[in-house]
Amino acid sequence: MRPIPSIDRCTTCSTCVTACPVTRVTRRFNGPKLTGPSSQRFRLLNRVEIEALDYCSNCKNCDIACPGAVQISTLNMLARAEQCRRHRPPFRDWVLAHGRFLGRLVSWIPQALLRFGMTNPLSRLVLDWLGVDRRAPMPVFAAKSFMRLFAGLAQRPSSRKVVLFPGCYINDYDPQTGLDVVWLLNRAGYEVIVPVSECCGVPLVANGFFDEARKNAETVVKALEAHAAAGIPVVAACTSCSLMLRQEYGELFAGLKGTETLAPQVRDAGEFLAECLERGELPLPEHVAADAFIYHEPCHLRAQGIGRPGLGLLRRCGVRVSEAGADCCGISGSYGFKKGKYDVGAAIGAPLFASVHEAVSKGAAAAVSECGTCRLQIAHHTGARVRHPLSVLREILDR
Amino acid sequence: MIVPDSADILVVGGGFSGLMAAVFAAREGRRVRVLSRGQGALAVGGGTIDLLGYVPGRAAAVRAPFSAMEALGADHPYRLAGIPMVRQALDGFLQMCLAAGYPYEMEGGAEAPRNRRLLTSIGAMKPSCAVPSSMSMQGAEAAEEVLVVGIEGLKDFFPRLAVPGIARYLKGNVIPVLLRCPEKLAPMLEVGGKSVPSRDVSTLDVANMLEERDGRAWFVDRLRRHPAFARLRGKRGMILLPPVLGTKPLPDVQKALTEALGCPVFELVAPPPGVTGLRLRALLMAELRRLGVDLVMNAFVVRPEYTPGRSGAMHVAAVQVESGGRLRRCEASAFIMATGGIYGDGIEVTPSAVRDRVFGEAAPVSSALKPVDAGWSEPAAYPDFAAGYSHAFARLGTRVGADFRPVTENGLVTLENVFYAGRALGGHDPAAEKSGNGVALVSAFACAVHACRVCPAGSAPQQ
Repeated sequence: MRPIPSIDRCTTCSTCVTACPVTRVTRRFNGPKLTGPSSQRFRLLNRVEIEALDYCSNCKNCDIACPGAVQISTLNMLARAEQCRRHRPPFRDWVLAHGRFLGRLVSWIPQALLRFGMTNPLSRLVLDWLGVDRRAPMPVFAAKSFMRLFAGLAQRPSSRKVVLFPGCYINDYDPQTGLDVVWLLNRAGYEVIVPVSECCGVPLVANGFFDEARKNAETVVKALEAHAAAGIPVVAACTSCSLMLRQEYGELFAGLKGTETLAPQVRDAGEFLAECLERGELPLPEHVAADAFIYHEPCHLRAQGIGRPGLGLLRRCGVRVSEAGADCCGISGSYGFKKGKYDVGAAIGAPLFASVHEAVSKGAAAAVSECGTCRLQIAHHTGARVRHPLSVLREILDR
Repeated sequence: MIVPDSADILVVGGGFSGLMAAVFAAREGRRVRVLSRGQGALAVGGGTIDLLGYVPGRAAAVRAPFSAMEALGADHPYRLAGIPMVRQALDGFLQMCLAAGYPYEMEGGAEAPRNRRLLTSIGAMKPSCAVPSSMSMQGAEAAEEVLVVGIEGLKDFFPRLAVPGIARYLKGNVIPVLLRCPEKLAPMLEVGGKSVPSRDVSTLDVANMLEERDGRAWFVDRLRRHPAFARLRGKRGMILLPPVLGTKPLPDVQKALTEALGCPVFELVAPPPGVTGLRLRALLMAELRRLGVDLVMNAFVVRPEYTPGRSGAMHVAAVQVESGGRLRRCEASAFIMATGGIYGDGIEVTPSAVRDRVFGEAAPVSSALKPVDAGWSEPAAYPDFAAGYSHAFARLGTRVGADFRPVTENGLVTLENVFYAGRALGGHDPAAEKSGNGVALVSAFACAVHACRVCPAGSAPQQ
């Protein structure tokens, strides 16, 4: 685990500013250079926090661009944590950070009442009052959580085991993607273990509930550590989860025990399946007849330094997938849901939405992207169908 | 059926030289992967191709770069590549930009290029060679009235500071114009009875604003209403701006302003964010996607894996890449190192040694500079600085042979399938020579040509 390099590695070259999607669309944000390392110098002197800190979406494009490996967004998140310790964040942020809490309530509600989620008129009214934009693409709770569906699966026992970390998005909103990943892992000869359904803590960090995020991290690491220590790989299909588990735990939560054991075992699900392919465990057909797709690379996948394994798997099957080439979709977890941020998020994603529209008009069947909230945002702004690349891969292999 | 995770050619480094090497190699039908930590200096720079502006030891700016190259040291990347390769590299670059709809201009063409003068935001002159059309200053000699236009609060651009210098290079009257900062960029604050912009404004911010129709309308309206604008009436006028004509590699913003203002509009050279470099990066990213190059960001190459090569040199089978606390292997038939110099982290300097960060002793760093016991600050460490030559520290970098593979002091190749491009190369001083992007481009082309020779198309399994 790399330590956070000193802010003195920042030479104020402005590279981060050229890569920041928020700076591109709003003058309310002072940009990563001033909000990150430059303000950090004043933070060390205990000066007041700048308001613009709130505009950092933690998308991490600044960190990715920085030639000096300064972790700018991490500085911002640590500063936000400190600010939220002093001033309680709005209740709106509590709700968005605790989507999981609502999810747990909802999982016991009968099928007929399911639209109770965050999308019925009453919830909308409450969310509006809280400060969630009325237009925001709130996700709909799944009828049965991933954990309940997974419990009902019959797997063939295998000596080769892999841990799947579903995270809150797949567990509460999108269990089918989780099931598709389990199917693929089984197909590669692995027995899947799911020890924990806790949220990794990303939304808590982004909304400033830092101490609580640390508690989540402790629960998650505790549940996964023994498996990791036994050399069992831990995969996540949501890119923000895998980034958090493999990198941010170590950066954000100093002294959190077990992260060094866990981190080297963590992989993005596509990355793991690409390794299975290399080992000969997952034979793929070469020239399948399939629809065309357009791919969006989530920021938090780019931040992992592993390229685009999901895209690579589809292309190896001969699937035609073009790349949108956009920097960010603008949702950044719960950022684009908030009043005052919805329009920022929409403006950030505009070039991406234009690319998706164009691809669909030229015959693409759907957009594909690994991140759950990216999919939500793209679908909301384009009306296009948006899928996880591994769901498409399962469909190809499961014919 | 089993497809290893490999490429024909692996480029390490995503700055200008790395991306260009990837473009050139991919055009030859090779499967190319780029590993980049950080996005290099391209996006914040000027994006102009400064080929050779000065020859060390001579005060006068170079007019004809090809003939001036003869005066360079035998280990200079241009001398190693040779004029025909320099010509092909320039031609390839110009063709690419033209095809992308964002042409660069070069006097004399690739056959016999001539340098041009670029004016900077402090009114200085910089010799350059190939520049975007927005910087070409076509018709500048004939301009009778020239307005140098800035915006209040804009960092690092002060028309009154730039004008005296600019006036030395132009025949017409040169007049400074400062527009009030629009609320859209920074609301005004009252401070001590004075109205000042409430936040910083950069050239990038103005470029974003001028990309919008409203922003352009504001700019045109304000400039037309400025008293100095009346001077252009009935005269051959010209308007000089900092680099703010949009962020996309398109001529649209320049065209729109030229039409709306009724006279040509050009950009000057400014400090980071240079915006013109950002446009070039956007152009290259689109080109890489078109060519199917796999660009992996945030990948940190830690160390190589060797196998014995032929004739005593080592063969590199793979590099180990660190991401998220894990090491991964990336295999390739050839490796192009565009890892940058000291500032870019390609070269490590300690009080007693200089070394290549990835290959260490296997890719020896050349220099006229000898680490001395007392350290780098001793005059003895800089033997030829006193002789009027540029600083030896600036010329420090990997020593390569004619095919851009690293060599020992005696010219023996050390790594048989590794090639070096850009700032990592020794033997040139980009700041003193004004040769940064020129060397990056030419060495990228040379590396692609030589790397393709050691890995014939289709030698690695197709992805």
